[in-house]
Amino acid sequence: MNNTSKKSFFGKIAEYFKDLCSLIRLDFYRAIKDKSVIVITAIVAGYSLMYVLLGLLFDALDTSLFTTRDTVITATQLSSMPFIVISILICIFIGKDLNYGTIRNKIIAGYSKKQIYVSTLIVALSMAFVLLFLYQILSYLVGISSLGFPTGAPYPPISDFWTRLGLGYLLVAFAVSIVVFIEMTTRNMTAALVVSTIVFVLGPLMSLLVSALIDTAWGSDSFAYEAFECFFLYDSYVISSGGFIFGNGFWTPVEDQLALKTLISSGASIVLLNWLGAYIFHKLDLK
Amino acid sequence: MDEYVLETVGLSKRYKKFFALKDVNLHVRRGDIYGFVGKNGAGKTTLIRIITGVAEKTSGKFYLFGEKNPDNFVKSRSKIGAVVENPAIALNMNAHDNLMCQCTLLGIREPAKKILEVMDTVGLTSLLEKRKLLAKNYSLGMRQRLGIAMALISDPELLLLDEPTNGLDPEGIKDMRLLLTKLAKEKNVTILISSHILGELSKLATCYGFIDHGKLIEEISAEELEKRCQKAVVLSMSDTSAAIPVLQGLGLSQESFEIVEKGVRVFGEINLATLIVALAQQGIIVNNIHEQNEDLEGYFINLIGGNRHE
Repeated sequence: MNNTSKKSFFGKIAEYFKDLCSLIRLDFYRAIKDKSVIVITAIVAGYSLMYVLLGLLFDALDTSLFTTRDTVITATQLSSMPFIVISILICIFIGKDLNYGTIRNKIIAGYSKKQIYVSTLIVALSMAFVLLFLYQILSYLVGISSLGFPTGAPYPPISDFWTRLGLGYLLVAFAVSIVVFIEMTTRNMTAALVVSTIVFVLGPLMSLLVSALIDTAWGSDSFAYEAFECFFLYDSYVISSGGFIFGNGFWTPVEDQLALKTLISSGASIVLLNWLGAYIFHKLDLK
Repeated sequence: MDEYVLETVGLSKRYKKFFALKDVNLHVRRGDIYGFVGKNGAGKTTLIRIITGVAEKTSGKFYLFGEKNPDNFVKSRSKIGAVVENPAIALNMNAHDNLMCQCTLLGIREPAKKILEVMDTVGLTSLLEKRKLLAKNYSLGMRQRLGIAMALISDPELLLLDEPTNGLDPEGIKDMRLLLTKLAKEKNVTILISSHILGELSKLATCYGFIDHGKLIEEISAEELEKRCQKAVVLSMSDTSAAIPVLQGLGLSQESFEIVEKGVRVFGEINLATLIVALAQQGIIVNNIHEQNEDLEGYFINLIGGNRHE
């Protein structure tokens, strides 16, 4: 930690990233030593294998209820469940730093609160991506090796696969941003757990409910409906619902308009939410 | 000019309508062991939290190591070690892992050597071998010492300790005192300790700041405080300047008395009858006489009590 008074702009940038790396290294060290990380990883791995085991069971029972293709596709989709499990882990991980007061050590060591927010977000995103990748790759590999490669309908181009994967992970990044935002600005692990669960599970349902109510009362071409349309679209392009659409099997074609809408809305939301989060956190008094 | 490692100028912290700190001007010189004295809720912890960056100030300024460039301000915190309220240790890790985290944070190149050094300083080397014993199973005293070990990792120039003896047994308190004295003497660390265990504080502080209801009432050196607390007789009188030759005429040296507001404080043993007669002969009327024999605790209580009646 050197003084920065005479450093050039690029020198300051370099030092900023060096500091960020130290913070990230510290949080990864904490993650390695944290038993909850091991437990949640085991849960995610177990969950990813669940469908494969189901497929094997159905094969053994010789039923056509669940085909090999269904099994592998279901296993690799981005449903709400892994989101929730991963958000629990992120809440616990950040909550420990806040509750033990070890976040104070970072501030006293000369790191700014904005740097701490950014590093926390990067570590949370890394954990989420690694766990989701583990969830998908494990179910895919074990599914194929035990049930065989899915056959049947023709496959869309490989570019659609990458679009789906990229947009799926972008939605995950948005979801993680929400969790980090809530926990860092409220400094309350329980609040973060409750709100993120509501957002992931009830969010799409609530937007559907409100849109149905307004549609019934005033009609879909009313001013009220148009004014709140952006909110209703929540269901189709954000978080669990969007994640479900984009993760729901890599073998269905990508709908271009939905992909673009998701890219723009999620990307803008991620930037805005994290800028706001870092700003609020910077102004907050810590425990 | 004095070199202040910590200086606050009109520092205030407000929570809605309540001022936790109001216009505090505090000065900590290099090498001081600064006893920061105040009741619970007086504002001691708030000030330390602001200095360490954990809380934000409402108004005013503060300078660390004389650094007045805002660009360098956050970085100058890296020369601080602090234990604020409870020691900031991860209870799900052992002592070694906690210290490794701190080494990672501070970019220390030889962590093993440094960890051994600080654990030796706080007398906890045995914990390094007990890797399976997590911090949540440590006693309060062990946690406090580990907290101080973590604060010492960066070889701080300024150590801020908020009630470091809280929850310690008498032996632990004594050990803490010896440790802090050793740090100040051997490593030339400037220390600010907030405490309300005044008897213990008086054994190591070189200067004091007294705070009450968010206001810094007084800053005073240990020598000055000792002088004020030593046994003395305070005589309130009509003409203090005329009393000086009378006192000197009675054989009192200049060090054995001092002029105070509307009176004279005379230290040590003195024949009061002789003094009053000698003063009366010069036409000086003694209005009030009271004996003073305070310790730090009494001085503090008088100070805040006096303030309250204002």
